[in-house]
Amino acid sequence: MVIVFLLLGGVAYFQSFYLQGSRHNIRGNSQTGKRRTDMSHWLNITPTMRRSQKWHSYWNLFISLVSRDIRSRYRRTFLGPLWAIIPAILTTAIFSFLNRLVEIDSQGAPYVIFAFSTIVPWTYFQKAVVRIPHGILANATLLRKMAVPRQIFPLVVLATAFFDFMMSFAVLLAALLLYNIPVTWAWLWLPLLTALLSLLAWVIGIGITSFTIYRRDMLYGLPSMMQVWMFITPVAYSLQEIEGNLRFIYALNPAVGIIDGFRQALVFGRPPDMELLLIGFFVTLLGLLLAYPLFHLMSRYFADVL
Amino acid sequence: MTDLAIRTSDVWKRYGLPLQPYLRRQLDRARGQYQADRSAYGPWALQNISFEVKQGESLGIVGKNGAGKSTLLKLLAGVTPATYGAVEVHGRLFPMIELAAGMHNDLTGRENIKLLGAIMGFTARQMKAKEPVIEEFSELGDWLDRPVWKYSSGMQARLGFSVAINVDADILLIDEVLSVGDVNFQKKCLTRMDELTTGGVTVIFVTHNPYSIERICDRAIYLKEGRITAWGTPGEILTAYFQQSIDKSTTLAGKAIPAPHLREGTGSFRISQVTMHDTVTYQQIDSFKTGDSVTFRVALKVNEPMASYRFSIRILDPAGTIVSFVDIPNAARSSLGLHGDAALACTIERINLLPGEYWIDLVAKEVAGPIIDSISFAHSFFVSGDLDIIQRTENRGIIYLPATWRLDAEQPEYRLD
Repeated sequence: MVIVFLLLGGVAYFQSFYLQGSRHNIRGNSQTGKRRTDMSHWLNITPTMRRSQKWHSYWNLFISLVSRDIRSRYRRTFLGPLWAIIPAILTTAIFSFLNRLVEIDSQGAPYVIFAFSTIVPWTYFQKAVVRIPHGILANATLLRKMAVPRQIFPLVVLATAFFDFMMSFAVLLAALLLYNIPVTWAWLWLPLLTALLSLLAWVIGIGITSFTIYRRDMLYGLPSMMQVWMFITPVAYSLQEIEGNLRFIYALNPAVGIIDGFRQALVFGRPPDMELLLIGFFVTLLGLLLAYPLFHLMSRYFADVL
Repeated sequence: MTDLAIRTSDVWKRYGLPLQPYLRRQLDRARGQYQADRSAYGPWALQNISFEVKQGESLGIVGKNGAGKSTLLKLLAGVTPATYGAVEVHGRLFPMIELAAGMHNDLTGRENIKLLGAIMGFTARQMKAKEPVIEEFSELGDWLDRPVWKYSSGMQARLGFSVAINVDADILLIDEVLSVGDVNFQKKCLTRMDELTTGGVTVIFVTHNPYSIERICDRAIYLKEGRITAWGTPGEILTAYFQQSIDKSTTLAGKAIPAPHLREGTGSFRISQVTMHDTVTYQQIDSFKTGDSVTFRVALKVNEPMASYRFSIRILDPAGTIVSFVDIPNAARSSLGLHGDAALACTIERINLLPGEYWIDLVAKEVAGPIIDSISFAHSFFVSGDLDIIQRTENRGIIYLPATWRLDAEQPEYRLD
């Protein structure tokens, strides 16, 4: 899946540069090229407006949209913000039940904790990726009306998903305490792992969104894709189960090092596998190089098709 | 020039990603069938749009549905890029389209005010300062603390409009949003709009109702099929607009009136034909000049004899506003009894309608009330004006009132003493 996405992304990326450089500038604006690439265009702000002011207004919009989404999400529910935690707990319950049927090697740790420590970050990752295209679609009227930077909307989704993640992470900490798992220095890796996971979610999210707004297939395919992805990532089982040649291909999955890192740090008090983390990081970086320009190009025309 | 607000130069717009048309063109080039004419590589929403608007000016954009008005607004708002050409905007621009954009139904009105403010680029503190004004303008009162999904659609529109209208922008894009709320609220909106335009705000006003541009605009553009077909003062544009629709009205004059059995009413008699005639020569006509007299002839197929009935011709402007009711006077009723198929002739003296397109509705009722027969938009006609009248009125308004002017104080014989 990732490879297919990378291929598609690559084709579009290079085409976009080819188009830009072509003699007949099909994107037009040969006279106003500057304006089109300059972000000031997005908000139609007077040239006299200072750069800091401009970014301040984007930041302000970002904060307002995040607070709108967080406040409104659970307002018309009985359980409220509990819904931020319930999915991860349910998944853990299902895996624990499966563990009764098929013994899964949990490397000496209680399986519930073993699984919960990876399910929490995974749920964050999955929610963020799946919701990013919806973040654009749900704000269609806004996109059709105001020239706000389209880049804001995926970031808003990421931030709201992160908010849910923080809540379930608190529950995870409580569970660790309950099982007498000691706090170790390895926990200092957690901010870095979270940052890497967020970056990966953002890259995958915007890459897929670039196409999804035009052809909606992935809107329906994305949940299934994430399910498959979960099973090729050591969420329910340990990384040690993968051996031999398979391990190298497995390592190309950028989520492997990060997700396993969470478990290693939280449950076993060990630093993450640096080799896996680095490979994953470079794959993520490659994805970013393809996905960001793609999103930048495609998002200019979002208002045409929304 | 610093006093320029908006300039578009040779703007073309085709919707969607440019990849496919690009490939089509390259393919044509390879085959040697390349066409230098851009319009061959459509479909174009806008073609060759060039205009300038100075600061403080207000420009009206008139056109029928699908003429490209909204596309033009989108380009000015910077929501979508132009395919060719350049759009220059100087100043803080605010589009008053889709006023509810960004609003969230589960949040309260007050929370939504802050949110809409942030969308327009204001900080929470700036919005806090504006809140009382918005609160008062919206007349929502306690409703502001209730979630927006409980609002009626009118209230939602009022909230959106109140925020939008109280925002300080240099350029406003307005897309027929004035039909918001009840009459009082509309009046308030119009007053506020006048304040803004006189206060130096540049306004781009888009409408398919040509009469509304007269109120707001200094200049206007007439868009047709994505091209500017006329530009000038609102009066000139109105004339152009109606000149273009004259072909339409003549074809509609011969259009089939809905079959009698499909029409409402008791059917004691049915209108079978409506024609307009010159009063003197009695020749059938489609248009006349301001101030002419005209006879409408309504042929009736009578099913039951009727000694007395009511009949009225309603004259409408293209926006559907009733200009006048022409009824049969009570005294004349008895002489118009129907005993077999007949035709009513109604002569109207000196119709002082300004140049433009008008419609008539026909309604026949029994004296007691029930409708016998009625036809909406039964006939359209076109009024052309002589130059003097057009110059005097600049084609603003609907009717022409002949007037004479003098300096009153200079006329001693009118003094009372």
